[in-house]
Amino acid sequence: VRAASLILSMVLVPLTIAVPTRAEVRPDPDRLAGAQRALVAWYDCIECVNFELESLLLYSDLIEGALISTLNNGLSPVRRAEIQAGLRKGYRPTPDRDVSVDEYVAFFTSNADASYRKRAATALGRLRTPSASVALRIAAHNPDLRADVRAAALEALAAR
Amino acid sequence: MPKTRSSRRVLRLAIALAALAFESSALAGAVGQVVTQNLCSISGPSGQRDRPIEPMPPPASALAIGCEVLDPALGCGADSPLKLRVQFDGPPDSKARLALGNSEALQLELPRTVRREGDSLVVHPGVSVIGGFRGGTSPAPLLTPTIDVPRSWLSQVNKLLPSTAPGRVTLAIDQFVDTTLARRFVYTYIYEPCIKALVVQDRIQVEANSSTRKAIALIDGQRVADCVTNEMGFGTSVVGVGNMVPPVDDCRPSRATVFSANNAIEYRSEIDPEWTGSPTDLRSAPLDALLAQPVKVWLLYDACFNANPALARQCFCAEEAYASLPACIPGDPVCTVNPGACTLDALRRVGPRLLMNKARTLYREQFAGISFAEQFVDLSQIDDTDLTPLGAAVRAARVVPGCKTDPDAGATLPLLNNVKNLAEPSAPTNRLDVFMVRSAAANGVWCGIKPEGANVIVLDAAYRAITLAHEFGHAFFNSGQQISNHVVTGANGSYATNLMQALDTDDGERLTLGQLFRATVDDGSSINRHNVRPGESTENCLEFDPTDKCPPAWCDIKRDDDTTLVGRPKCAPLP
Repeated sequence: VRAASLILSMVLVPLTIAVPTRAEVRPDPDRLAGAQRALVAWYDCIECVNFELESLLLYSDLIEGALISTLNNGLSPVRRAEIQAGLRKGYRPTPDRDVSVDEYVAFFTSNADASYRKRAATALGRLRTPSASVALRIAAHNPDLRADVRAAALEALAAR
Repeated sequence: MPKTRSSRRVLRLAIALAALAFESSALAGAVGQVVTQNLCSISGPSGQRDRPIEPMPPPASALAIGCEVLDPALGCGADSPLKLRVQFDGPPDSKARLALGNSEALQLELPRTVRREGDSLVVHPGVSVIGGFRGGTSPAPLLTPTIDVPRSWLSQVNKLLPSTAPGRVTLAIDQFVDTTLARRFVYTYIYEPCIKALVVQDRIQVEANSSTRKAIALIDGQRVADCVTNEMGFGTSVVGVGNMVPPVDDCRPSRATVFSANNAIEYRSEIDPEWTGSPTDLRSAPLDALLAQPVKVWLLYDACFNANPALARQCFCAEEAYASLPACIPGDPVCTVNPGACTLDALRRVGPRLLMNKARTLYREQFAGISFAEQFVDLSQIDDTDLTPLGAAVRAARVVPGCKTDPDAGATLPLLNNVKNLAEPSAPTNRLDVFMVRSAAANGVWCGIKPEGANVIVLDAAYRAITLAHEFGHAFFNSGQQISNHVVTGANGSYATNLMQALDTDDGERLTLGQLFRATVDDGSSINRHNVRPGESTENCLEFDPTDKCPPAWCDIKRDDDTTLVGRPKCAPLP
């Protein structure tokens, strides 16, 4: 029994030490802020020539849920509102086609939404986690998503 | 020199990651805007006007309340309580009025220092904390501030010399989830003393100005006591420049550049004949029509926006080589061949025209003097039943790696050129070719990273409203400098709404006079590479810094009927 207890304690004690409490695993606020900032930079970059994706992947332990949420839901309400406000301000009537301001805003909001989802798909492909893979497969078959978004999800799977 | 390039890439990555690590200790999402207004509408040094001044106009775009990234694991869920901490630093008796949009469902918790007036909140100098917001309210509440300061304070500011510090008011809006700062936005309002008009002595006569708006003249030259550089004057038909005299030593030669709303930029590399000692010299500057940059837009893929996604055009299994993927099952929505589904869509293929129209109006409104002579070709309906060489080329070019790196551009350009050469065997070389594809690994990219790509722009199907105008900017502003085109204009808060910032936020539409000078005058601009202004003077400008012949890229001033200018109002160094 002593020997068994000793063996058990040799196994359990390190485990107890190694597994931190819930309070201890709370991420560093600076890392949370950094992850948020890296996500926004990745979603909004135009050419993405400043290593936005590589920077985002530094937070790979934190960002999976946010990326899946974006792939599934698109723009957050706050980004949608700001993008639409910018579009309304920048709208000018077209000389040769009668595109209303509402159509203009809807058209480019659709593209912004697709852009966010495609970026989320690309990043999820790089995460290579089981949940990311499942999310990408679901998105690839989701008829409610734009064809280019579905294709981006497929490509992210293929790139794994 | 692949090894060198690789080393540079590794170095840039290391620098970027180090910068990111450093930034992680800073505030999250801190951005800002600068709004300026000169005080010519109240009595100033010249004493010529005395009428009420309007409250400082709203900033370029509204601020939405909520978290940009919604994920409880990252500290902010849709229902997370969110508070605003508003710090208003202004003179006594000033007010910040925060107009609220999408606020019907909110139950705000207001401190006694904040008063609600209709759909606005009125805030006085100091710190106020406003509760009752949520992290992910949809639609997100919008907040648009305007500033009202006492007239007595403005009069004091207006008595300051223009060279001294202007009046400054700041409004910092922090969004907190619990004790964590989720977003920070700082509006800086600058009240500039009214610039005393130059005595009209020597003049530049602006001829053939096809706009009623005032032209802007950028002057280099000699006055009796000073060598002036990048001095600005305004006028619809005549710009007074004071008494210019023959330049001496380093002040040679006298130069002038005229920017206007509806004509090409007129650049005089030397004033001819030279200014004299007389204070009544008149030099004419006849303006030409807008320069027309030739563009051809190739629509290779159409995302076919439709409010009903079921009607949107689907991708094709064969063209995109998905046959080996488990997801590619005949009849699967991903693989449906359905090119005709878009034909009744009212907005089908309208995207290219919207983009060109946006670019045209944006450059014109900024006094760029540039328009576009565009052609469109639609190859988006080619599907996998088209067995011609062109059909195969189009399908192959719908997914390209883009032009972010030299190898990417090396793979992308042959695919795009193949389409062009098959569709238009004797295509002219003096135009920009814009290829709209399904995937370009970026919303848009100019391929000038390789010399043979300097006339090629690629747009992803998820392009934004300003993406094409931004990419045109790369072709105009110092070819070959795509990355650094972003850095200075995007690195300073004053330039948050510059078109060339690196972020695609759909409201960055500003261009500075320094940028526009480069677009027309720099010898690397596509305007000059394509001989759009034959026989005119060109210069070799630095990307951002001034040279003897070029103003700095940040040089700017308010256009005559603009009420706000986001950015520094004068041709002055960045802070």
